Amino acid sequence: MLNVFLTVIRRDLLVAFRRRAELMNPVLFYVIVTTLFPLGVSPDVHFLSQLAPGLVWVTTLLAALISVESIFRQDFEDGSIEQLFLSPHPISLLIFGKVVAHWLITGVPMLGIVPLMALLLHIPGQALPVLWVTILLGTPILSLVGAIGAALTAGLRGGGMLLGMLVLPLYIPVLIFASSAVSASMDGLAVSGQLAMLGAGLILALILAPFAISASLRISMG
Amino acid sequence: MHTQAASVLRAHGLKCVRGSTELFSNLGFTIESGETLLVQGNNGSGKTSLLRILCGFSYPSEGEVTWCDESIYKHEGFRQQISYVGHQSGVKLDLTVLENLLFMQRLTGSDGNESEVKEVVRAVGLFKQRDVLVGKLSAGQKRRVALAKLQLEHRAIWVLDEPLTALDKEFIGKFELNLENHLDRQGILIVTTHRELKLPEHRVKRIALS
Amino acid sequence: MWNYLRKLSSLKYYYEWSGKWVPWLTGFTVVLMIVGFYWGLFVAPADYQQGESYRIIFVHVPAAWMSMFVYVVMAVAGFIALVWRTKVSEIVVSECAVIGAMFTALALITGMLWGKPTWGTYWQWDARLTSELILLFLYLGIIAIHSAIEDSRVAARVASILAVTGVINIPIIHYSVTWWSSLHQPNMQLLSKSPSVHPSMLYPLLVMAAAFQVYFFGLLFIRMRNEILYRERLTNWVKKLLARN
Repeated sequence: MLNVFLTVIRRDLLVAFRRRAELMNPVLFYVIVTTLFPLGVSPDVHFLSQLAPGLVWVTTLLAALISVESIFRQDFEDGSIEQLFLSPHPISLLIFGKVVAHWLITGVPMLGIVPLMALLLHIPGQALPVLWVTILLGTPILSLVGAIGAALTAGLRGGGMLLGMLVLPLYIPVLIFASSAVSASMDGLAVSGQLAMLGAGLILALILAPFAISASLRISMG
Repeated sequence: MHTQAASVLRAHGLKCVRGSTELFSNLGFTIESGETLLVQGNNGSGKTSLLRILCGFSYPSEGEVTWCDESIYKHEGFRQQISYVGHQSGVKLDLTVLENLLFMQRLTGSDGNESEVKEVVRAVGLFKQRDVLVGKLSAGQKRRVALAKLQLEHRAIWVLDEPLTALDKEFIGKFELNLENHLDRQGILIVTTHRELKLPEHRVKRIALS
Repeated sequence: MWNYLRKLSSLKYYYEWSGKWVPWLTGFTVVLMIVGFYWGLFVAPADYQQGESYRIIFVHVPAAWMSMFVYVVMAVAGFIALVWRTKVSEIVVSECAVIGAMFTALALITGMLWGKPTWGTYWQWDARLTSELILLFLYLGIIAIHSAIEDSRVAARVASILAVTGVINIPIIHYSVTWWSSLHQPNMQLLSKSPSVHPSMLYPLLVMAAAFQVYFFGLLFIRMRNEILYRERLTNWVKKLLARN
C-alpha cells in the first residue's frame, strides 16, 4: 500500500521534472507580487516591516491558489483520473499521493523563497525561523484544502476565478494564525499558541481532506 | 469455469440525460462472460456516456447496472474487474512507454514485474521505442501504448471506446486475436467502434443508439 | 419513520406533502411578523444607552441566527444528498444556498446600519460582522459554482460537498476571526458581549426569531415546489397538474 503511494508521488514528480520550466513559476510569481508592495504602498522600512507578515502570507495564499488550480487538470485531460478510480487501492490514498507530490513541487520552493522575500520587506532576522515554520505548517494545509476546490472545478471552463471564490474564504484561518505568529515573533512575544493552531489545522486537513478530494473528483468525473 | 456462471453484467431501464437532451432511455441488456457488447451509433448518440456509466464513472439518470446481481456502486470488487481505454487513455505524454506501463501495472495491484511489461511492449511492437517519451510517438503508437495495458491488468471486463482509432491494418489483426483470446478466457468485452471489428459472430451482442 | 422519509424523497410525493404545509407556514409567518414587529417597534422600551436605534436588532439578530441555521440545514441536506443521492435533498441544498445568502446579506446590511449610530461608522472589523461577511462569501461561492455547472444533479452534488466542507470550517473560521479580533481590538469584545437582555426586549426578539424560522421553511417549500415543477415539467404528473389548473 505504501508502495503504490510512493509510486504515485514518484510519477508526478517525474512528470513535473520533465517540465522543468514550469517548476519555477510559483516562485517567480511570488517574487513579482512581493515587489509590487513597496511600489504600491511605500518603501519606508518601518512601515513595510509592520505590514510585512500580512503581505508575505497574503502572497503565499495567492501563490498557493494559483498553483493548486492545475493539480488535477492534466489528469482530467489525459484520462488518468479514471484509471486511478479503477485501482484496487483506496482512492483517497492515491489522491493523497498526488497532493503530497504537488506540495513537494510547489510548497517546498516556498520554504526557500519566502524568507528571502521577507528580508526585502524588512522582516527582522529574529522572526525568520518562525516565518519558516509557519510556511512549513501552513502551505500543506493550503494544498490540501485547495485540492478540494480544484477537484470540484476541474471540469469547468473558467474554473480559476471560481476556485478563488471557493477556496480563499477557507484559507482565512491559516492567514490569521500564520501572520499573527510572525508579527508576534517580531515583537518578541510567544508564538506557541498560533503554531499549535496551525499544527492542529494541518492534522485535521490531513485526516479529512483526502476523502473530500476524492469524493469531489468522483463528482467532477460524472 | 462454472464458478464464473454468476459473472453477469446486467443493465435495465438505463436513461441518460445530458443538459436538456435525452441521449437514450429504457436501455437494457445482459452480458455474460465470454460475450461481447458492441455499441453502435452516430457521433453524439451517447456511446461514451453509456460506457462510462457501465464502468461506474458516472450515474445514469434512471435505471441500474448490476454485476453478479449486485449494484455496481455497491459491489466492492467491481472496479477491480475493469480495464478501461477511453478516448483519453490515461497515458502521460511526459513519461516514456516503459514508465507509463510500469505505473499502470503497479496501479492495478501487481507488484512491478518489469519483464512482463517488456514482453508486452515487444508484443505491441514498441520495444525499440520503449524509452521514448510517449509525447514524441505517432497517434497510432500512442494508441498501442494505451491498449498494451490490457495485457498487464488481467481483468475480466474490457471497456474500449473506439480502440481502433489511428491503428494500422496489421496491428488491428493482432489486436483482434487478443480480443478473441480474452473472450476465450471467459472475459467480457464492451466496445464501440466505427471501423469493422472481426469477432466470432455468435459471441457478439449488438446495441444501437440513435 | 424510515418508510415515511423514503416516501418524502420522491419529488411527486414531496410536492403534494409540502403543498399542505405552505398555507399554514405563510399564515404563521404573517401573524408572527405582525406581532413581533409591533411588540419590538412600539411596545418594547427604548434602550438606555442606544435609544431607539437598537430596535434594528429585531431584524438583525434573527437574520444572523438564520444565516447560520440555514447553513446547517444545507450541510445536513448535502450530506444526505451525497450518501443517498435523493433528489429532494439536492434541491434543498441549492435553494438553501440562495435563501441563506439572503439572510446573511440582510444581517450584514442591518448590522452596518446599526453600526453607524453605535460606532459612528458603517463598517468595523468586528468579529461578528467579519464572520458574517466570510459566511456570505461561502454562500456566494456555492451559488456561483452551482450556476456554473449545467447538469443540475452534478451541480447539486458539488454544492453539497462544499456545504459539508464549509460546515466543518465555519467553527474554525469563526474561532480564528474572534481570536484575531480580540487581538486587535480588545475593547470591541465588551460591545459584542452584550449583557443579559431584558425580558421586555427578549420576548419580542424570540417572536421575531420564530417568525424568521417559519418564514424560512415557507420560503424553502415554495421555492422547492417551483424547482420541482420545472425539473419534472416533462413528466406526466406535472402535465396533468398543469392541465387541471
